[in-house]
Amino acid sequence: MIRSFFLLLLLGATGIARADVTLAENDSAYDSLAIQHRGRIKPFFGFTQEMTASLTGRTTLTIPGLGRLGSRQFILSLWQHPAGWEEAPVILVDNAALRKEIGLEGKDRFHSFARLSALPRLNQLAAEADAARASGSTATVPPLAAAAQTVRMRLGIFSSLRSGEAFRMLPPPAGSPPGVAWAPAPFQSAESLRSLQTRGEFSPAKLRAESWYFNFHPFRWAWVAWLISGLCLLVAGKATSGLGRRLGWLLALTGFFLLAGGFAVRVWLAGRPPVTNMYESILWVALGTSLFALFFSFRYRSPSYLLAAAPVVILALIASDLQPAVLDPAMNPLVPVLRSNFWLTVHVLTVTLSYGAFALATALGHFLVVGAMRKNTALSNEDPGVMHLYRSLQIGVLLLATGVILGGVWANYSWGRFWDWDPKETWSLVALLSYLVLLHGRLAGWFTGYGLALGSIAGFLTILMAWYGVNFVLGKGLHSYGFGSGGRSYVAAFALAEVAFILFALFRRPQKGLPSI
Amino acid sequence: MSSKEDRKILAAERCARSFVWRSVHALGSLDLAILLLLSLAGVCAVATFLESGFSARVARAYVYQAPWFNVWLLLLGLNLTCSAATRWPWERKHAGFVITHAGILVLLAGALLGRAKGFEGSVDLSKGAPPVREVLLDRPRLTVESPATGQLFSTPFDPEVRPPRPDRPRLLPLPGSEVRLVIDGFTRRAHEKAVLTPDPSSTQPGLTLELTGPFGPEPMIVSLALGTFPRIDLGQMAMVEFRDSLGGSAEPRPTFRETQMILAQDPSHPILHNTAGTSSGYRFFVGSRETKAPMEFEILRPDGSGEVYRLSEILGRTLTDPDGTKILAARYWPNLVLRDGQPATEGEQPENPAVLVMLEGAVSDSSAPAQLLLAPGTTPGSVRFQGRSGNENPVLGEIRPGDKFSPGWRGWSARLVAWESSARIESVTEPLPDSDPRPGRPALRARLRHPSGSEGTARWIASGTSAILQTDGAASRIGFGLELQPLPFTVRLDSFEVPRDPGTEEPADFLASVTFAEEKKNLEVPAKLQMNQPATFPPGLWPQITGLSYKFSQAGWDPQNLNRTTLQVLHDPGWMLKWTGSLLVVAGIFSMFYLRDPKSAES
Repeated sequence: MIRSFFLLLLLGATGIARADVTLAENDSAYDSLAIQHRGRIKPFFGFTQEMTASLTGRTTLTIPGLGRLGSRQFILSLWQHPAGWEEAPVILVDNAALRKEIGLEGKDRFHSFARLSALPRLNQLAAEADAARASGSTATVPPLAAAAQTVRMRLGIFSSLRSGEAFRMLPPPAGSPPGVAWAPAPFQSAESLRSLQTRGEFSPAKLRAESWYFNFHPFRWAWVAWLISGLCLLVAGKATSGLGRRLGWLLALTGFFLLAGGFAVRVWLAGRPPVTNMYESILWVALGTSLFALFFSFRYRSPSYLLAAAPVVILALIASDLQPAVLDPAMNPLVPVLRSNFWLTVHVLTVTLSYGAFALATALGHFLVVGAMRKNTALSNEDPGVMHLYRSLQIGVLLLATGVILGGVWANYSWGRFWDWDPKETWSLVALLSYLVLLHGRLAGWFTGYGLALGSIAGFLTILMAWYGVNFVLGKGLHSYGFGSGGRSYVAAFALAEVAFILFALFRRPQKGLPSI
Repeated sequence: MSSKEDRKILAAERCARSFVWRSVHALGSLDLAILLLLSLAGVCAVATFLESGFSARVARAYVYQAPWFNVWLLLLGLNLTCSAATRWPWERKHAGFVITHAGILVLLAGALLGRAKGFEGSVDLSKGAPPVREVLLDRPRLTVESPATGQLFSTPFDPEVRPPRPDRPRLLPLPGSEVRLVIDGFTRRAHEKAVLTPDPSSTQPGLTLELTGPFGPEPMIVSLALGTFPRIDLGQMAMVEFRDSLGGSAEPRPTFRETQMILAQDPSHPILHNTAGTSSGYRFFVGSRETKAPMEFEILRPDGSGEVYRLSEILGRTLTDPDGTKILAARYWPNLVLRDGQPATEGEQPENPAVLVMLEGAVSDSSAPAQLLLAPGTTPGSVRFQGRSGNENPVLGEIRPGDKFSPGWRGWSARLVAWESSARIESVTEPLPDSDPRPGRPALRARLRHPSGSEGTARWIASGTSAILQTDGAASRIGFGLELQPLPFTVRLDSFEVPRDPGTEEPADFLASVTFAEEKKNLEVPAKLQMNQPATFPPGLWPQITGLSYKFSQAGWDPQNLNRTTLQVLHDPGWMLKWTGSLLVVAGIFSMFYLRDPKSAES
């Protein structure tokens, strides 16, 4: 470890060639330089993270013989010493079927630019995807062709980095009209580039802040805090006071503030509300879940909300931290329909906040069902755990109903019509109806606490469909700016596991106590 | 405040006493409510998969706008009303419950009103184009003419919902006759093609050329006939003309030559026959749009200008517009019927007036730099040609069918495919092959079937046009296209801008200026609209609040043509009810959950 650290230092300082490529110095002086990329002026460090994630699926990469490289050093090396990189296996081809189809043997997921460029079948498949997309919206692009298109996009990014074309760091001459493209800069020292960046619509302070934001990883610290908080609360068990419990509260609160603070900084930096992609919505749901858990646990003096919220928050934040290729943390400009739109912001935030409440409910539901199964005792409506669950469901229903209706308000304002049976709209309605069934079924005496808990787990599956499924599985409708791909197998596995859990819980329903479920 | 037990006794008493109360309690039962909610959720979920697998129109036709779905919603409304009634007499604790349920009812009522009285459509606006006075609704219709009476019948017909195929044709009876219309094909992209047809009655020769350009291996097929269809423009850059002799340079060329059969009863589906050049853009109305008097004839030019004539004044006279366009109202039929496929009139009463208009335009602003002139050759069947591109020297020669030659355009080669000494050009609608990237219009393939079993020739009918189909002794005009909704005012596009994100081609916004005009009130209202900021007409708070206004929102654009934008148009008189209902629902849920005495939370 120490040896390789020294080696890296040595390499960085002298630029000694190693394994065919030369590494640049890992110089953080570049971090806050301005660069124009994807319609935005951003700090160089954020750019390196985005580019590395686009090429490799992660923000760090491991090269055989060189070890682990951070995004900054990787991108600087490509820019400063492009020779030899075309032979380095740094481009992700994650689709195994595609690898087989284009003639890449073995299980290696990373391949070199030179190797991939020499595969005619890859280009052919990507061209098929182009044709399918061009021929109209009704044609679906075959998955293999879409995967080939992604790899070809990675090749394009790689060559724009190697040629220097991607480094648009020279502001247009003084007096140019706004919106003019920046020019690519040849490699220079950070100081000389900084001296050239005297013009342009950007604030150096904001760039420094953004670079800090990407370096600091507030959301990573937030899940760490929640993890320790959960452990403390578990250890503290049923004790009503004591160090463990107090520590748990405190850490959960810290995690919440890290999350909220990071979120606020992100909103300030991007200059727009965080309502546009899966990454931001996962963060917002985690924020909602932790907010409701903290509120209820203070209000009703019960740590069980926090304990239930912890796994949800941790899972959500780890997913958003580790999958930059699927959950893109970049702050890209919005499509026009999403810009400067008050109703949209309110609508999306309300709906996703309700997802947070329902996530809390489903977590509480799991705890209740497992507890009841272990004790083999039915849950009455007055059981404190059931009351906790019911409160979470209430706030979720209120928020979801409001959010769906606000969606109508926004649609009416922006597109002109109130309700159009768009899949996203329809699925949020399906979710709302499912939860209404749950609340009404409890009133009608169809089931008691155990059924309510199982229902809240089942209900979350409809939320999952409205949230993830519409964009990633159905892939149709007017909410098309939110479409994406990836993570399907994880979500499907989660949904299947939940269905299995529900079936098992129905089969093993408690026999003692109340007659109904 | 009565207790739960008291209420139960009260309910049981009134149920025993009255049938009405018994039904109210049955229809308003919680169990029914849960069943309705569950089934609605399930059906909606299935419908989204229908939409994903097929199209939004399919989901709409089979679920969201199907009669049974509406019945379901009505049932839900009834259940909501009755369940609110079962709580009678209402107390303070019922406020949230009653408000929520009333809110949903108001919302549903607003939706029904909007469905019945409102519409949603789109308009394509182009800078400099005439003001638009009608909106295209996303509702395809079929217009058929009764072979017996000539009366027009229109019916909703969506080929996308269950696309007609040869093995799955759709059969429609033609009103007042035994003949049936058979629709057995549908394509999303069809185009008009000129086809060389031998015609002994014609005195003019015709030819077919194959031109292969530098852009792709697919050759272009060009058919021309002397006199009737003598020239074709290949985009902006080249033209081919067939004339008597090669001498001299190209004359001031007509850029279009077309005939239009205008029907008073169905002005949106003229029978267009374009014999040369592009579409003229002229529109005509038998019976002006204003008065509908059958003896009037209105001309609407592409620039929006126009005037109304007495039909008797204009019939058989050629009008020459200042720009050189010649318009001839050639024939008039007071009561058009089709006899043996030929137009004829039955009586002199103007029951189904129709006018045949011929027009020819001679706009002379753009001149094609590349031209290929053709003329009959020295021996029968041979063709002389002269090709010219830019300032280069012309290429001259004589060819026979099958010969390849160079038209003198860089990168192009040509071949004479066919020659007919007497021919005419027929315009045929045809589906485009998948490999052809050109845009096209949806089209249906239709034919007539006589009860005797004999069938007429099948033809493709493109959206927005009509065609005459024939079989043994019967003929009918069949029109196909989206329904047009007239607006009580006009709208035109004054400017359209698309600012971009810095350094990219990604649009950052869409800015349009439009002018609404109401001729009767002599009112002109300019308005601006951009993404998320629609424009409404008539302006003012009152029409907006009541939903009596028309709302125009940015909906689509054409990256290739920045003079054009597509706006979505909405007219929704149920708007006010929808908003009130929404507000009530949210307020009701909130008060139900949080403004109640926690001790009596259970009811």
